[in-house]
Amino acid sequence: MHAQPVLWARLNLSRTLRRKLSYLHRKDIMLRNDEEDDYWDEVAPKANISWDDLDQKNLLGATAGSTGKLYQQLKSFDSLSILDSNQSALGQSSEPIVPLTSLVLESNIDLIVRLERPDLHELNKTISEETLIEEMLLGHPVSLDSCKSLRAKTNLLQGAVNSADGEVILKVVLYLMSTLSKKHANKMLGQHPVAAKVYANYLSVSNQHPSLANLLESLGKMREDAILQYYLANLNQTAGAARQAQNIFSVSSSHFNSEASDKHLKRHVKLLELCSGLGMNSNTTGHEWLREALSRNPANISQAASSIGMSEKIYQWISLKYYIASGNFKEIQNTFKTSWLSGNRPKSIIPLNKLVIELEKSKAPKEQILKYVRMIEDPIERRNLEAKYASL
Amino acid sequence: MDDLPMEKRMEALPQITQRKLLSIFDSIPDVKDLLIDPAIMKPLQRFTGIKALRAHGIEKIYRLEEGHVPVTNMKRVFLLCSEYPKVRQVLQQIQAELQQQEGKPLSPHLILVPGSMSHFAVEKLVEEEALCGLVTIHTLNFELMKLDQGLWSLEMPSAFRNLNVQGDITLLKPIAKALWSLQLVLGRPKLLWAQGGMATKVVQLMERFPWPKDTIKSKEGTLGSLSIVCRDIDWPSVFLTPVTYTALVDQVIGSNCGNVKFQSEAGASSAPDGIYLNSNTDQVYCHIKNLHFSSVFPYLSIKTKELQMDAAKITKASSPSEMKAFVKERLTQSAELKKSLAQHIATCEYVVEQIGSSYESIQIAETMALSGRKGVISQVEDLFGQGLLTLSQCMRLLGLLSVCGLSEDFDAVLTQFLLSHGHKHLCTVHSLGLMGLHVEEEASTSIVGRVAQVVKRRTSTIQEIDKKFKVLFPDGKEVPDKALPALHMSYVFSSSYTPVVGRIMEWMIKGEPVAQLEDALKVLPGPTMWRGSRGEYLPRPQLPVVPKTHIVFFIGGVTYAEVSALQILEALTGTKIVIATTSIISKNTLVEACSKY
Repeated sequence: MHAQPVLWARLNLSRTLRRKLSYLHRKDIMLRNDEEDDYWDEVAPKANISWDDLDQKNLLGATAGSTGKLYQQLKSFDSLSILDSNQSALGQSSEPIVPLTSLVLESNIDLIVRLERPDLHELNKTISEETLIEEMLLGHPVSLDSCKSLRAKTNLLQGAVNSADGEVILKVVLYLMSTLSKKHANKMLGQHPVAAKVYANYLSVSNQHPSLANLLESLGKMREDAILQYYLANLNQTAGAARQAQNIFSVSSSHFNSEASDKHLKRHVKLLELCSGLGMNSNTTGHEWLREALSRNPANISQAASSIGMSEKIYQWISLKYYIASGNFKEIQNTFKTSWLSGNRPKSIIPLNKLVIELEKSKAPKEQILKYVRMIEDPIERRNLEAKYASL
Repeated sequence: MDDLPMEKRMEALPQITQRKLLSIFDSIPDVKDLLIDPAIMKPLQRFTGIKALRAHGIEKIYRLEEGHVPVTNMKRVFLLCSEYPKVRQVLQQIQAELQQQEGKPLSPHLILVPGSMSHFAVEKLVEEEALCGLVTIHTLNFELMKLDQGLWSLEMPSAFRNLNVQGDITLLKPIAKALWSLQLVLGRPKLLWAQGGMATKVVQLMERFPWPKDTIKSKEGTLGSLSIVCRDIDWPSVFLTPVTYTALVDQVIGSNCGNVKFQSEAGASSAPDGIYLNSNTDQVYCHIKNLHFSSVFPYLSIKTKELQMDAAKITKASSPSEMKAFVKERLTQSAELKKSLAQHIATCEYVVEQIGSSYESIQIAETMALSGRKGVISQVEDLFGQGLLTLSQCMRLLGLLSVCGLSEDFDAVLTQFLLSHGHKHLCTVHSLGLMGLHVEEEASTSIVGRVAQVVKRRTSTIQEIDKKFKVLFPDGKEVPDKALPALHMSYVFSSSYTPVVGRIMEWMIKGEPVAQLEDALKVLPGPTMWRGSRGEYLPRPQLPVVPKTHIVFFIGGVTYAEVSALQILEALTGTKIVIATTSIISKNTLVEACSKY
């Protein structure tokens, strides 16, 4: 009895809680009494229990042993109070209660109770993930809805990957994507590259490029994401060359971070700018641009060609073929470089025997062909070709 | 039945495919229309005919193309490859037909042949298009079909991209089913070898299928070994330019289910020329298929002269009986021979026209690459300038440079390639990286990052593989005598390279030391798996393999060059080797697989 104030002080409980605890303690004492039922009959609880109405004296009725049950009582406190309130709201029942089983069949009771508890249903007994995978491998229709927990989903995906059956993997992945947040689903895919590839291919084949881009980004496949963005930028045929240059530049700066890719993309942007200047479309290749540029005769073509990565030899080839095809033989020699090492004779990077073949294919005048035959340095080859073309 | 040769017994497989298709038709009551995807028409001809289709309720047969096809029967069967654009086109067509035929019991059926889309993905698309319950979906997995003597295929062209580029294993199950069917027909092999990640997964899938007791052990004399190999164990065989007739024709023109068609400039107004790559029906082809290309034309000339002499003889024939004998016995043969010669001569001319000017430079460039010598760009710059390098040639060269580890040359060739064919092909080249070839180096400042990049690169270059398998210039640098039958497998690549699978099969047939084989297999990508005649695990094989009958299955495709090499090995060793594959890697296979996204 005297321990109680010390206990209250020690626990430092609030006034309301103390009252509640005292009331519970009193209930505990009452419940432990053999006259439990007698108590209920004697005490007529009021409609609404007010803690202030409790006799102060009763608050001190606790014993040291009963405090050990306080926590248990706290747990049951609310239900008891509700029970008490309900009973008090309904008023004291004076008629005997008819047993439930005489009102309703036990089996029906069981059915009603079990309906609220799907985990008890025989029909809804959880099928293991392995069994689900086996059934899918056999082509049987199954529902994956029972795999709700992350653990079950993880096991399901692992089982699908282990089965090596792409159909099963795809089914499981699509289920995960529809039942998990992107963050969790992508994390699981990141741990199973085989499954990620099956899903990525599915998105690719069905042209779901935005979803594919999101997937690649979440898996950390930045390079592949970058290439996809570049691919999509190139697919856009309606944009003119200038606009396309902006698109490619934008993709390049936002997605690519390697020097090697950067170099090619910069050149692509430069080419698009050159094409835009000539009013050419965005599909134009470097070689097509050069041929068009030669026909317009703008200045500094060779510098521009070099800026897009064209080698000098290829530049010469395209120029030569263009001049030969257009009959502009005067310009051919202008493409040759002169060097003091060669005694200021024009020197072609392109093998002269190949140039001669090209002239022959284009049915160039004989004198043009012979002109370049005479420049061939190898005397035997020169003599043979001279004999061949002189007789034409 | 046990006395029948192995390939004769394998002829059960196309019949099984036919049986599967006809059973689908039988499950659809009443007469029906059949609309066939053009991509499937050639394979379809390999295992069934119109008579069989009509006998199973097919009344009208149409080619599935864009545009309206008249609805003749309420039951409509669409036979198509499971590719997204095609499936989508068909579903839209079905929707249009359902609207037009409102009220009538139109019943569309889809029969899907494995492609890029899985069966489940098609079901999902059907559901999304609100056709669920209105369209019935069936699946038809082809069994192996015979393209030529010793060459069988599943005609699954999408396998190259799906498996090698995308790494999507969905098609492994139909492959496993086909190999399982093969073993139900022939019995299990004495030895099963699987090399590569995809190959071991196929074996794993096969083991799940039910095995009747009588297939547990191979019948004596049927099947010595079944080798299942992934494409990625030997990329050079895909990238190098071959020198044998069939291989070069296929690389330059391309084939479709054993059929080659082309339109020569001279005959632009007439029907396309072409040849059937069939040794059984074409005796000329049987002789020249594995011959050096430069020896083919002289052979054709000789045969033409012989034919002319035969014709001259008969014009000089005096008696009616001689003429009668000629008409009865020789006329048909002569007519067929004449037609065959004409076709092969036209094919040779076309090939020379296409690659004559670039062939030598490409050969030199490839030899330089295999030797590890830099400066390949100098060989091909003239070709770039003259516009003589096709897209597929460029891709193959880039692939070869990547495999040979020549990154500077790779970059130089890539730059000029993008300028000549368009910068959009940066994506195409990226696919080489997805295949485990070229790896783009991301900028990394940390030591750990740079080390990771080194590890990420292909772990075995061609030089490392050569150390174990002796595949580079194995017979010295002498050029073989092109007129003689081949004495070495490297003949197919002008003595510069021996296909890796050929070398391994040679060791298995000749019974080379197992330790040597095991050590060499470690440099190849992916795990190695050995199984015995009951499918049991074997730690190592017992060589040589007996009986001397072998099937080699390439997952992801095989080239005609490798086919030639294995057929040369077959002739040299007196064994029987049947080559099987998902499809032939033809002229445009690499480009088509790499340029999609």
